[in-house]
Amino acid sequence: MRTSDSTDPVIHIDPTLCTGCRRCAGVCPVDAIEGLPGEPQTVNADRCVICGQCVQICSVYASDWADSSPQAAAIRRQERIRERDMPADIGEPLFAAYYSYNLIKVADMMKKPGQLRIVQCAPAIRVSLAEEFGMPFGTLTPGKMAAALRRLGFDRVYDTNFGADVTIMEEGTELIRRVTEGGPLPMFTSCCPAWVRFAEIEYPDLLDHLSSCKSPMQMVGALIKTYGAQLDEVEPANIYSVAIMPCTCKQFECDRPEMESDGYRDVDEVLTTRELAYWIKQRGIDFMNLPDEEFDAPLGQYSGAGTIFGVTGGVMEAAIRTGYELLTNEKLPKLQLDFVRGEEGIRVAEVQVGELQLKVAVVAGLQHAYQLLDRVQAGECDYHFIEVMGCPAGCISGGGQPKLMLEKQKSMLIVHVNRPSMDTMLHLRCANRMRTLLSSSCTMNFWVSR
Amino acid sequence: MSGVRNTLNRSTSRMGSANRTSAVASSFVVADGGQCIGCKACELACFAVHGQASGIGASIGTVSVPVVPKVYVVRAGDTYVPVQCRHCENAPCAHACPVQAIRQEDGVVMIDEERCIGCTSCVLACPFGAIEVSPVYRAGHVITQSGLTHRANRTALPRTAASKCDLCAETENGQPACVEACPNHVLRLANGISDSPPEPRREVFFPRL
Repeated sequence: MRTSDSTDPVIHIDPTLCTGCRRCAGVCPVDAIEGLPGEPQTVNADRCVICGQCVQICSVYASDWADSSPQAAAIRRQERIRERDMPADIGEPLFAAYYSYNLIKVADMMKKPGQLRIVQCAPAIRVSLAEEFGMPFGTLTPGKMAAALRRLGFDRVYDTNFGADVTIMEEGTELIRRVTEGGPLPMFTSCCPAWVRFAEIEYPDLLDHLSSCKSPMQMVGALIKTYGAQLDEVEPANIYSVAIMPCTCKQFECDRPEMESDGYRDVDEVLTTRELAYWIKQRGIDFMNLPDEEFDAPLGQYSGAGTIFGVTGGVMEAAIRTGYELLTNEKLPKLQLDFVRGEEGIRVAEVQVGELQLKVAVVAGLQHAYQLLDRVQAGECDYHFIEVMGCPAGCISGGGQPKLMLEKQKSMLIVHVNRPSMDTMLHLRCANRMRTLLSSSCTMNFWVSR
Repeated sequence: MSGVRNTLNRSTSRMGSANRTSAVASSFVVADGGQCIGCKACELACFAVHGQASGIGASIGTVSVPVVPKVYVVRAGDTYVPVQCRHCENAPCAHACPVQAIRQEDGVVMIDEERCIGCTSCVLACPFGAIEVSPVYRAGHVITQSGLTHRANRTALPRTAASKCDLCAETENGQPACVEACPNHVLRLANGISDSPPEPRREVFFPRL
């Protein structure tokens, strides 16, 4: 198990700003925020699962009134920006809780000559990025995002949805194997790095229940430096691979020692949605008036199943569909499994898959995982498959997503991931095509040993 | 919550609407002393709703100007309290204003920021410390005052104006944004006829956070 205290604790609380309101402690699922009410809080890096919900809820900002003059306030602001590694010309208010920023590091690396710069984007980004430019909730901008990333200097713009499809394929297969051949059940999803870290810290004896599949980001990362390198005829060492993610824990995930194949990191650096917005603004790109551009093929193609990964129950829904078709060789009669969707809490369902009554559960918000895991530990949990997402409504409410100012807007933030149309739901065919494509070209490392 | 609702209609002018038919005389937002946790969610909500006309959206990323709210959370020892305008019936700020930029309409004391000359007379007159004079921003940029320059570097100085709680008169009907945003339900909209015992007089100076 890796702890984050030896390097970068990722989540920080500025003691000069924190008023000790402890709202961050109220949303922390693992009690990692420590301190007395009214006093500056600290983050216990050994307990923190880096979900970033404390950053999202923090409303204590650096006020100009706190300084003796506007000039003093401006100087203090620049000091804070430097401490946080934020772009110098950033205009937004600075809050007490913040996470480590990688933008300056990535922008510097992009200038390095002789490398192929490749980026992948998570499904939750295209739903939220426009909010950073004043557009209404749920404005979908995948085309503008691809165009912006090309203008930022990336040579290939790929889609993490491709990796989500691979994850579904592998995870669905693993589930069926565990159910039919006998394996640790229930099987837990392993896409959410905060959840994986939570399991490592709180329930290390249950780690063999986690799926062995890498997350979609790491899947695409592994593909980029193998299959992607072959496509572009470049050495993996000359590929600079960046991921745009809604999550504050994804950088931690990509830094994990096991996320390396043949001496190369699967993903080199991760930027959050907010960091991508900073970057676009810093470069003076008129985001709202960009023409729509396509993702690059083939690692930018995906099915409808990949699209719904960003929402609670999305992984479960996609995996059930795949598992059903693998087991029965028939299509699931009703493709949209709304019963596993929903927000915070635990939702359960039963699906008849051939002769098997598959019992599944979806957990949104890590604080709800304790009771379920206690039952698994006690051998009282008869579910086959459990999806766990660390954030309240899945990746869409991740710690790296746009931070909202009004409480009522936070509760209004509903999932706007478009329902894929029926013809794009043929994810299994797509997945099988990908499997053929990939297995014919090179050996991939999609699994991680814990 | 007391159950008192802000029944002010959306105003049609800077100074408030003349056709408010159901306004409650001397409504104001008051905080339950000792319950505030100092999270400043009220300040942020206040800034968010008043900045919508200047292009400030739902996300923090759309903010390009300093946060200038109309409610101020102050601290005294271990106690936090949000301070804002009490919309005094005999408003001393309006009496002090030399340019009649402050007027009372249907019990709501409003400041016309366009007319205000930033003289701070109202700040001195306010018994609650509810008014601040701050730079004026429009469309994400500070407005400068022609003829005024910084003594050292000769750059133009910003135009300043007084600002204070207007009971969210320029926003949609309903509770003031600060009342809605307060996670501890510390803030409530009270009417002029007191429905709670008067707060004890505070003898301490409240430093701003």
